[in-house]
Amino acid sequence: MKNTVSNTAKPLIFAWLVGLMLLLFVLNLFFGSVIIPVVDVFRVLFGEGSTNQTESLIILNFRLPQTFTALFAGAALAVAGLMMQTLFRNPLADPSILGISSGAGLGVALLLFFTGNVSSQTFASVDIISHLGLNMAAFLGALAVLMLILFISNKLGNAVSLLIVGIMIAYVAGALVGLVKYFSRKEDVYAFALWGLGSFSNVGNSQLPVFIISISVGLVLSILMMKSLNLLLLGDRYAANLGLNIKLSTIYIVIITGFLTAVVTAYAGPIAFIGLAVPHLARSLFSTADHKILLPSTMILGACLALFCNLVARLPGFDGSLPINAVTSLIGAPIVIWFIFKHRNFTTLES
Amino acid sequence: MRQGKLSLNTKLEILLFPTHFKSFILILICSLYFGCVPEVKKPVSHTDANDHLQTYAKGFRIVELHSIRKLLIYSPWKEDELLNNYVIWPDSLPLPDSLKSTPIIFTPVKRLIALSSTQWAAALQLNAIEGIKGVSEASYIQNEQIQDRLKSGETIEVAVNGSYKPELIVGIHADLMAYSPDPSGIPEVLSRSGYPLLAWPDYFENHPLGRAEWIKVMGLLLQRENEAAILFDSIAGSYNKLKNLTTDLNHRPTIFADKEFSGQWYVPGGRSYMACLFRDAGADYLWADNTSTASFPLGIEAILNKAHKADFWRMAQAANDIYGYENLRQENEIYASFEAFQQKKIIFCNTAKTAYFEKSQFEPQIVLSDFIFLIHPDLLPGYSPVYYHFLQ
Repeated sequence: MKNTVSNTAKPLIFAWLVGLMLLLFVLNLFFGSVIIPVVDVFRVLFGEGSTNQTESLIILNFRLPQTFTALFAGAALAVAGLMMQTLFRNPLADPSILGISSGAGLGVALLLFFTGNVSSQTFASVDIISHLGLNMAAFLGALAVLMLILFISNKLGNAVSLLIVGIMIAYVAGALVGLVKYFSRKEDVYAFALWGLGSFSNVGNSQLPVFIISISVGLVLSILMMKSLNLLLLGDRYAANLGLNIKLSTIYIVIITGFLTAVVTAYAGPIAFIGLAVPHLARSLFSTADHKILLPSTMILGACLALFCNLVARLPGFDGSLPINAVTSLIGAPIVIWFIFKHRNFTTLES
Repeated sequence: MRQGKLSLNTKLEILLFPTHFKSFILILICSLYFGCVPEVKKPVSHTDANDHLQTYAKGFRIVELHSIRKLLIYSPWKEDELLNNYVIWPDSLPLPDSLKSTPIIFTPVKRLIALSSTQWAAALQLNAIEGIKGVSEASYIQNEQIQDRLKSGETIEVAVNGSYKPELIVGIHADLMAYSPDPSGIPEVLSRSGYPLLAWPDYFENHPLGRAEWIKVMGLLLQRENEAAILFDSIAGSYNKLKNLTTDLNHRPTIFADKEFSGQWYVPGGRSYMACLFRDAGADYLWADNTSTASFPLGIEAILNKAHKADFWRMAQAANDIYGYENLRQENEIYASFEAFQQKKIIFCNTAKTAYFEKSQFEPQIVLSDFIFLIHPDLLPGYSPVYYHFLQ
C-alpha cells in the first residue's frame, strides 16, 4: 500500500517546492555570517546604493554568486543522481558512481603532485595554481574518465557491466589519488583534503555565467531524456520493444550526467549526498516513478537542499564557514531518515 | 571519492600535524602556541637551578644544577610536561658513574641529523655546517652550502615527501637526531633508529625573538654557546630598537593576512608570531583581539566585512617573477574587492626567491625592518627591504 498523491495535488506540491526554493534563495542573500540589516539588503539588491560599501560588496560579490552556485550545483547533482539511479535501476547509485568525481579528484591530485613536487614548490603557496587551474584540472580529470566510460559503454551497451566498470574506474582513480598523495608533501595533502570538502564560494561573478549556462544546458538536455528514462525503468527488453535505442540512450544519459558532475565538481569540489538522497525525497514526496514529474521536482528539491545547506554553513554570528560536504550529509541524512519514517512505504524505483 | 588505504589515524596525522617548518599547514594550524608577551616560566622541579638568562623562548631551558648542565625541552601541548630532559656533557671529560643511566648528549655533537630546516639553518648561522649529516626534503632546500653537501654526499637526504628512509638514517651513525614534535608522538621509525632524539618545537614560539633564540640550543650542542649568545643578543638588540621606533606612533594602519582556499580563509591568531610582528611594526592587526596563538579559519564573508577597507594585506608564498595582482584576481575575484588590492598595498614575500622559510627565523630584525619600511616608510628612509615587497 502506498501513499497516493492525487494528480491534482502534484502541481500544488510542485508549486510549493518552487516557492520554497525562492524563499531559500532570498534567505541565502539575507543571512550570512555577517549580520546585515534586511533594509540594507533590499537597498543593495534594488540598486538604491547602500550606505555601507562593504555590505553591498558582501551581498553582490559574495552572497549572490554563492547562492546561484548552490542553486545550480544542487539541481545538477540531484538530476545526475536521478538519472544514474534510473539507468542502473539501483537506488544507491549517485553521480560519483561512474568514477567521474574520482577522475576530477585525480586531476586535482596530479596538479598538486606536479606543482608540489616537480617545481619544488608547495601547492598551497604556488601562484599558477589559482582556482582557475584547479577547476581546469578537475574538469579535465572528470572529462578523461567520462571519455573512458563512454568508450566502454559503447562497447558494452549493458547497464550492469557499465555500473561495475564505473565502480572499478572509481577504484583505480582513488588508488592513483592515494599513490599521488603518498608521494606528496603534507601541505599538498591538506590542500587536497580541503578541496575534497567542497565549497560553493569558488565561483566568482565573472565565472558565474559560464557555470550557469553549462549547468542549464545539461539540465535542459536531461529534460529531453524524460521519456527514455521512463522506458528504461521497464527493463531493457521491454524498452527496446517499445522502440528505445538502449545503447544510444545509455550514452546520452552518461554524457549528460558526466557533464553535469564534471562541471559541478570542477567549480565546487566533489559534493556528496545530494545526488544520492534527493531523488528518493522526490519519489517519496510525489509517490511516483514518472520522470515527467520526478525530474523537474528532483531539480527543484536538489536546489532547495543545497541552498538550505549553504545557509546552515554560514549561520549568522558564526564567523567561519563550515565545509559544505560536512553540512550536506549532516543536514541531509536526518532529513532523509525523517522522510522515510513519515512516508513509511518508501517508493521504489519501478513503482 | 575513494581514498588511499591510509588508516584514519594516519590521515588525521597527515592532515593535522606537520613536521617541517617550511609548511603551509604549519602556518595554518600550529605555528604559534604560547602568548605573545614574553614571560619567564619557572623551570619545573629545578628550583635550585641556575637558569641561564633567557627571555623570549618558552620551549627550552638550559639549566645548571650542581654544576651539571641540562637541556630541557617543554611540550607545546601540555604545560610543564617535558619532551626531553638531557644532561649535556662535554665529551672531553670523563662521565661520572652517577650519570651513566641518565639520557646524555655529549658535546660537541659531531654528527647531527636535522629533520627540520630551521635546525640546520641554526648551525649555518654558527658557521658549523659540517656537523649536519642528514636533512629532509632536499628538493625544497634553497641554501647552496647544503645543496653542495648533498651533491658531494657529505649530507644525506633521510626523508622525502614525509616518509623517512630508515636504512639511510641508521647508516649515518649520528650522535643526535633533531625532529619537529607533534602531539601524535615520536614516529616509530625515528625511535627505532636508536639515536638520542631531540624535540625541536621552535615553531611553537610565538614571539619572533623566541624563535630566533633557539640558536642558543644549537650553540649548546655544538659548544658554540658564546657565539650563539652574542648573535642572539645582537638580533634582539636590533629588533627591540626597531620596535621602539613604532611604540609611540599615533597612526597605526590596519593590516590583515593570507588568502582563502576552498572557502576557508586561515588568519593568524591574535596572539601569534605574525600578530606580534604586525604590532611591533606599528600596524593595527585586525584580529589582534583574538586570543588564539595558532591560525584559525574564517569564512570569506567575515574577512570581507572586517578587512575590506584595511590599509595593508600581507601574504607569503612561492611564486614566479611575474606573479602580480592579475594572478591574484584570477585565483578569486573577490580579492579585487579589498582596498589593499586596489591601492596596491599587498605586502608580499616570494618565498621561492628569498629563502624566507630557511633564513628569516634568525633574521627577525630584518623581517621587522621590512614591515616597518613598507608600512611607515618615513621611519626607515633609504632602507631596502629584503624579504617583503609591495606586490607589483
